[in-house]
Amino acid sequence: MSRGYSGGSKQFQRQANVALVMDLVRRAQPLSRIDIAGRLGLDRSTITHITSRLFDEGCLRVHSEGDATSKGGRRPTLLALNPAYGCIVGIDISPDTCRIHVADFVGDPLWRGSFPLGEDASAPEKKIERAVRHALDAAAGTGHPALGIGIAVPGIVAPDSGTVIESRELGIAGYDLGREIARWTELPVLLDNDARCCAYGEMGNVSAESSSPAAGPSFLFVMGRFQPADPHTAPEESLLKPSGIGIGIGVVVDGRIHAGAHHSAGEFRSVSWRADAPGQLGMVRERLAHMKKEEAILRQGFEELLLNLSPLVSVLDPEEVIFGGEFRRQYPLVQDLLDNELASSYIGMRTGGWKLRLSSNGEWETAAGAARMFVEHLFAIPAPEGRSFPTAVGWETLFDRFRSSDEVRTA
Amino acid sequence: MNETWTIGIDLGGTNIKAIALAASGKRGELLSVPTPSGGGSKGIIDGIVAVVRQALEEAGGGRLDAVGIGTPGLVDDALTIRGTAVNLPEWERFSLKTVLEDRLSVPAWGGNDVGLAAIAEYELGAGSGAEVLVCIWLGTGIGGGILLNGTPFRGHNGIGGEIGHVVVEPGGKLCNCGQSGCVEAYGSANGMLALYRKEQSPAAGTPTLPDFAAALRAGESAAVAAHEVACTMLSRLTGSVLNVFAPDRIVFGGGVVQAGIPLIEPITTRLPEYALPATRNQCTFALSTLGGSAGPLGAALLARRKATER
Repeated sequence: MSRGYSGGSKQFQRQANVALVMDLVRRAQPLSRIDIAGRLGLDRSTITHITSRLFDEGCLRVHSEGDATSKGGRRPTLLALNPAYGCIVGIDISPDTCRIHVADFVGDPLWRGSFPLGEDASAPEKKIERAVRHALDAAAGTGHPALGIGIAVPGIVAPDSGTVIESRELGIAGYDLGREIARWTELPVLLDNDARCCAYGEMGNVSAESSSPAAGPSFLFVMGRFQPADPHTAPEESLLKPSGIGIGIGVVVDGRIHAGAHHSAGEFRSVSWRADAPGQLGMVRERLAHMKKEEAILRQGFEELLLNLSPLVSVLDPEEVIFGGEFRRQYPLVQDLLDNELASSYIGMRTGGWKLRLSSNGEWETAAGAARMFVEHLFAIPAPEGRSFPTAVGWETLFDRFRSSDEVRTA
Repeated sequence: MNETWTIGIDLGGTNIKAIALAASGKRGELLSVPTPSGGGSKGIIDGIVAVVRQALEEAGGGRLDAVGIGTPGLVDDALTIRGTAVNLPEWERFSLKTVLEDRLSVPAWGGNDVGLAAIAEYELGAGSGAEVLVCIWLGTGIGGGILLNGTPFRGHNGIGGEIGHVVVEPGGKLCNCGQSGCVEAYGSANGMLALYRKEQSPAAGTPTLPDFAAALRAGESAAVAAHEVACTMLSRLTGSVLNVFAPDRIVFGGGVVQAGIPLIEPITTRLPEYALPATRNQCTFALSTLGGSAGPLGAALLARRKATER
């Protein structure tokens, strides 16, 4: 059956078929032109035309020669993505630190590092600009031209428009961060919240055959970050400015991030929360402030979180629940609670056939996830109505940008 | 002219409801017969087969092309009953699809009862046009149906959307599932009646849902107190759903809604405690407009859609 596009304008068909070829090569490389034509149900001549163009642009390379056919014909040339085509810059911005993950075009890490951003909260835009400049310097050091930037921001983010709706942690609201960074870097920029970026980071860790935009994995990424208790936070603001530990959930349904109708899906508040609790849990301020250092309080907080998470897992019925941040660092405690205090609460979840595990990217989970977010959008297959076509990224946009620049790349 | 009909069934612990839906869009009358008790799963299957035939006959006869069925409990998209249903005896671990297709000689499809009601509300009722629709059904228990851009959300194992056992009061009332503090123990019809009985004097007897609704309308203190507790717990559930899914529409339905018990205002006024402003302010709340027809209509719509895809 043909997966190629026949509807829509000629320009749309061309863009969609380029995206299909790139997506297939990424998932199943190395492939011959005949393999690509067969798997996509497109004419060999169409595939020859598309792959020649992708060669010229520099994003495909010859990998090797395949086996000869049984009739002894010419050995087919196997094609693969060209890792040297460019790099993707992932940035994790927190109030006092930025972590940077530079990945090559295939998604393998090229460079990782972190920089302190200082305690000064008076000029958050300058702080973010500093983080991006650090990241671009790091990317330049790899020798690969930067293709684009993915940014993870704590708070509520509208990924479609690149707007930070509200990030109390960074002290910005209603700010077109994506557009602003794109303006002065002249690069495509995508952003999302930190928990969702972590979830993007796990998308590359599913098998090539099982993962496709039509039926990809479904999982939850549970992210926790310690934060200082803010004595000025009013109870009604506590969900927006969590104290003690900030908790966010990245929800992935059938291989797609679920952002909800208004980009705010994946927030968390304990059902034990009461008006005198300043954080997302039911703990009062005095206990929350000592959560990081006192094991008994930490255990109580984790128990409350996991108890609240149990029914959500039943509702979402994921394939995996992945823990990141503090939950990754304190995983023995998580396991101990699940084996003891919470054993009965999680019976229903265990019979559902889901698995628990730690994030694959360790402390770089958010920055690596931000880079992966860019990659996922770059390789996304556009829908005819344009809904899944990323606002800032597309192959044609990328080719146009490189054609108009002085950068020279070789396959 | 003889029509081709799809029959939709909504199997409940108390009643089996059925509706006939023609390819032309014409609908038969909603039928409701008591769920057979005492005969185990075989008795229930006999009851379903009888009501399918009755619905077809009352619609004027014609060809039956498919059957859709919504059933309580853990059921996957292949219409396999994977767990137990608290309110149906012996309703566990068998392929309902195989049994129905053998008995009726037409394809059978179905799934979770509230998931199907959500399809009907999305296509014909209060959920129309929602990008992320969550249906919360308050009946004997509490069920959930979630649609993302019109596509039912069922989770990885096909058993997602089970919202009745979200713990809203840790260490609270014991639920039928064995956990403590599930929302079903407070906000379902049975949960509300148990709360009401607890507030009443022991001599007050055993109230029904209409009794509770009437007492609430009359401002009886025991009913008001029970309603407040139930709505607080339902608000916690709604807050969790808003925070995780960020829906743009939540539709409440089921027997509690049909009994006229107020829900939207008492739940939403408590939401600031439990949900992020961005999620609660951008969501609209509605009551089911299809009432008791939602479940069987959704079952028929699903079966029609599946039959067309074949």
